[in-house]
Amino acid sequence: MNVDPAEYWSQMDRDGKIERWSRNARRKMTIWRFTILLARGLKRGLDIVGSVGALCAFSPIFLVTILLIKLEDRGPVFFCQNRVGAGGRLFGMWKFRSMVVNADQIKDQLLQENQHGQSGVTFKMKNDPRVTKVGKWIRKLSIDEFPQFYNVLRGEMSLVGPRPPLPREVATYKASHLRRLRVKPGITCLWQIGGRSEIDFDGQVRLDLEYIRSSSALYDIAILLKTLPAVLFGKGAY
Amino acid sequence: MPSDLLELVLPDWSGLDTVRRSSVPFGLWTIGDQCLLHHWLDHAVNQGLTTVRVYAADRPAAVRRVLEESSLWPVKTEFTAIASTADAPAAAIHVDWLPGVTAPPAPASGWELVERAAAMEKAWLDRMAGEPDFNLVSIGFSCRIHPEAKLIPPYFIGDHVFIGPGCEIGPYAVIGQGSVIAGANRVSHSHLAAHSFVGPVTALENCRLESGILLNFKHQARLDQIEPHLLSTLEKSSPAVPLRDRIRALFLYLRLRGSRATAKTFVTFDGRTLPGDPEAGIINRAAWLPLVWQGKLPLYGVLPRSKEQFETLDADWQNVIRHSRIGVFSYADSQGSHTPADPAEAIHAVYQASLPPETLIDAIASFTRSLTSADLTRATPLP
Repeated sequence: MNVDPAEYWSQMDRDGKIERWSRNARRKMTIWRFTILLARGLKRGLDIVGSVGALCAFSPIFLVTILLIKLEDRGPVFFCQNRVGAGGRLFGMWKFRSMVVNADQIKDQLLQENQHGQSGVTFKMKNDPRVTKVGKWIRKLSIDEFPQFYNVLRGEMSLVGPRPPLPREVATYKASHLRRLRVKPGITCLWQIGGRSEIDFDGQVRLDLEYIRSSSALYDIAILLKTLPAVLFGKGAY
Repeated sequence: MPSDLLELVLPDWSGLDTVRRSSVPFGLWTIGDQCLLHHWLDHAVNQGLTTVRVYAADRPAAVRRVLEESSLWPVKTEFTAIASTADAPAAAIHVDWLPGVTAPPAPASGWELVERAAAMEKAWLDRMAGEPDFNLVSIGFSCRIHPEAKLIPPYFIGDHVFIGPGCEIGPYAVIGQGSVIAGANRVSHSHLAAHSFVGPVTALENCRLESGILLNFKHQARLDQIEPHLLSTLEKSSPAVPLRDRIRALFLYLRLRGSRATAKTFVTFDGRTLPGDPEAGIINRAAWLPLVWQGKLPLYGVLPRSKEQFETLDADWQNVIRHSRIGVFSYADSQGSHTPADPAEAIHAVYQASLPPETLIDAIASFTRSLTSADLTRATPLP
């Protein structure tokens, strides 16, 4: 705005100026309020359309996976895990079961045997002995994450956003890491399309913050499109 | 005492808050991106503590609510309301400054209190500017910042902020979420609360703008009425009395028709002039119900009391009642005492004031349903 302040203020006494300025100010406020609503609405709309579309499009894969898991060990097909969502509230995240039924007990044993190697915040290991044969394949193809489209539809998650952590992981967070919990968690984020599991935790938080700062509907679509090849080639997933 | 416990006591400076006249206690004032109590929760998380116990004397219901809503921090929070700050255990830390730094001496006047908040914010911005991720955390999400705007660190910009062309933001500027800075503005050493509007070609320095009220620290001035195209608030004006209560008051008024109100008026302790006699009981209500319909008085709340009646109470009871909402019908009514002249009423008033406002509404509403016009015309109190 190239107005000399002195000239701007000298126009004060002209008739009806102040009324017009107030009207302009009010219009500007209304437009901005509408813009904020639109940004939120677009994100939620994209979530609903995307998750319904994905649930429909992947329904054959769902059927095959359900059959395979049932055939392998007759245990439950779905697996509900408590995760930390937006604002630190807990929600149940759905997955296809890819591990044996008593996986948590075996993990405690493994942790005891492997005390020295574990220093990071997240627990992930290659060639995990608890993963079933079918589980290995659906993990490689990221099919185990597909039931999360149901969480997206319910509004607990979003298509794009920081991955929801486990309550156990959040208990070890520093205050600066909590910033990534301020938005709705998502299925995919910058971390997934970049190095996937090969980046350290601080770098992951930095990527999440980068996403939170520059999030928009178009950026979300771009990330979703980039996720497809990352999932198809199974880069970094184990 | 277990070592993973942090005990905090919030200062009681409600009597000092003569300038800003905030509705929340000092411990809940926004410093930078979050309130002071949340900065201490951050501190507890960084220290690896698992439990935070908070003591507060000033508006405990508000503190309790904020603690219940802070689910983001993976710590267990406990809350205890105390009568005065001296009742807190000696080991508890006073939340009068940012964590990890020794606090300056306590303020003595209203201006010193708001300047303390400003100084705290400056210290917080200095600390944040030293963080490696300053670029990532200093601006919130879905902001629109014009490429010609100049940002001078340290600054903090919340979510959904619009910054127009030619602006100069900073140093030491905090812009709350949802604000609109129209263009060609200079904002430095200032705090704009959430949802502020700053009109074009306006400069702010050493200021605090909150719900359309501007505090200037340099000249120690408080401006209550500002032309809305210069500075104003984008907050949706939430009516003091919800429509549902107004309609309920109208129905009650029609049902209790025929009762006569006295012609006397009195001044309440917070300077409001009401019709009626503070010594009289339920007979005043017919005169107060039209005020609810006009949106001037809430339907449910603590009974209004005159200045003299207020000053006969204990200091800590005054403290609890001072900030509570005044209403036509109170919890004391449902317990059978209808006037502040009745000593039992003060006990019920303190009980009601220390709880969140919606807790006792059912009890009060069932009392109003049982009222008849005969009750209101009777001069003697109800049995």
